[in-house]
Amino acid sequence: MNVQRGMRGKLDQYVNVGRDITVSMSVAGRDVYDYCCFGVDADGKLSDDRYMVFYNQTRSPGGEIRYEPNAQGAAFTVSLDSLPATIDKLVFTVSIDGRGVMGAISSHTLDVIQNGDAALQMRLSGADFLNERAIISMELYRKNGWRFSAVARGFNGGLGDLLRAYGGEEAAPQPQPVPPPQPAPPKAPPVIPPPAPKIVIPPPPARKETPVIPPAPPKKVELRKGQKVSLEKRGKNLGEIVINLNWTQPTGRGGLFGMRPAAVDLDLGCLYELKDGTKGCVQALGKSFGNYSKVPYVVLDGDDRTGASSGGENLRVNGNKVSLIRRILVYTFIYDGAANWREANGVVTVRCADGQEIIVRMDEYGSNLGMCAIALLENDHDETLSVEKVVRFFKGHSQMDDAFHWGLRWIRGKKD
Amino acid sequence: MGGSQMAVNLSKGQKVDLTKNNPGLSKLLVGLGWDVNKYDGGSDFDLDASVFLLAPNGRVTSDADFVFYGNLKHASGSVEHMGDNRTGAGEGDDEQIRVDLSKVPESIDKIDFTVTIYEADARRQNFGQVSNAYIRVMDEANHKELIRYDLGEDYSIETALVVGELYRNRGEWKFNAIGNGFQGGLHALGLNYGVNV
Repeated sequence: MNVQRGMRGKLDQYVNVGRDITVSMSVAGRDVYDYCCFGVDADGKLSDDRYMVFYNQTRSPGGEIRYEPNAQGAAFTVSLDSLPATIDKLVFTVSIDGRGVMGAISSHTLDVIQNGDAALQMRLSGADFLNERAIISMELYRKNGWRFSAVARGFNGGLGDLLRAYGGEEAAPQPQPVPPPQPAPPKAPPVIPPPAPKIVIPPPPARKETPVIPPAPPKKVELRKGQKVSLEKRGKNLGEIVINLNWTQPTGRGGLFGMRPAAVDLDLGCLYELKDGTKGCVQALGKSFGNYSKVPYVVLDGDDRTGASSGGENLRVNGNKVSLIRRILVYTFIYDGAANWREANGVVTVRCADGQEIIVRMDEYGSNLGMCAIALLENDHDETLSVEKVVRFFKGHSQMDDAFHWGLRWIRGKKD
Repeated sequence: MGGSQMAVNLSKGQKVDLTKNNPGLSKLLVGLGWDVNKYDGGSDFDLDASVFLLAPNGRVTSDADFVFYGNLKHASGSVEHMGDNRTGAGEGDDEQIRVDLSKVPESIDKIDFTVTIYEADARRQNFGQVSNAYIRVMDEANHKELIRYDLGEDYSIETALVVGELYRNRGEWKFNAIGNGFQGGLHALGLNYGVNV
């Protein structure tokens, strides 16, 4: 039977629940996809983390759930009848290892198979999703026998959100000692024997098919032109986002008397548009330095005319106000002197409070225009900001404004 | 008067007395609730409660017997949809409907409470994605819950649900926990009841 999203039904109408079934899952897309089966209790919590079956724990204690990867994805063979009564629900999930989203996949399939027969078949595509980075594909649960629910919905926060939903916690990306067992939460009934330690997911083992994925620990992503990724929201709030512009000074060797090529002074700035329609720009020119805690929630940290030596210039965005922000266009312009982008080698880094970094290199040096729109930050579901690499050159502010339909009026200004 | 017994929890298809056990009861508050906010992504859910006042043949006498967001109050004053009002003692209910049994015209034999998903097809939504749906009938005077029906797993890919029904029985009013689903949303439901939609 074809299963639509949202469909529920009694499993014994389709398979013999007294015998093994195989839940086979696949995703076709550009990222690496991880498949997991959570065996949760009647409260929906993973009270026994031995019932989280995935690439790093391929069998539940009694072998009732067995994980086996295959070329398309993974298959879980399940003996429903053998599961302890405390396991109330099996949750089959897909999470993305990397920065992709489920909206970008080409297909997702889930089949419930018995005796080589796919009794239930679910077929989905990227059009069924948006920015989810982890989904619950299907649930098998006890309710007067075993039933299925084709959930096919998920969380933008990825595996971390999924684990939190089941009472677990993702291990920090940096290698660190396993945290000590947590005391039982106050609400937990006292009958539960030992307090379960936090579930720790180690980084995935090396996989043959993943040469393009950089190693996990340093969270740095370098964007290609037109590429767009969203900043990861770890805690309740996004925290402070620092947009740094750095550049190198011309390195041409000076003559005997130290004559050097003219220094390049790049200025960092941004156009902002808030949800309530407030628009403007933050830049040193005209002394519009912005404000971190008040409108526009973006502030410029001074003006550094020397470049790399002192860390460049910073725009700081108040990520806790993300829901008030519609979009921010980060740009740089050469205030004084000829456009010599090649020498300047500008790099813009968008850095989150948790250390995550998105790097945008100004890697099109050919332009003789003095202004460059580097990156566009846009509100992503009031939760986080997406960052898109733009790198487009303009004659000046008003031409850039026109191109992005910002609608500000521009007059010439001068820096002190 | 009403006594102090606990609310009756019904399961699908179960019928119970309402006025027989609560002499003098006339003004009811019917609350409907659901939960759709568990996951990210996808379109927002817009669920609408509607009420059909039915003749003994199970159909409306005129379109005016269909009380919904576009027609909040029945001409008799017996059924009034409270819109999206979430304040007041019925906390937790997503939508509420006031019913005054004493004002229900003699020609009306049944009052059906339904929930439909707005633009379900366009948004690729169905009741399988809705959890914890329920209907409860309260005494409006003290908001005491008299009847509750949690729909549980009794729905799947339907886009319209007949949740419950108040009906006349030998001079009393009873409640039927129907829990039947339809595909085709409010449109299909309206046709079923003889409303020109």
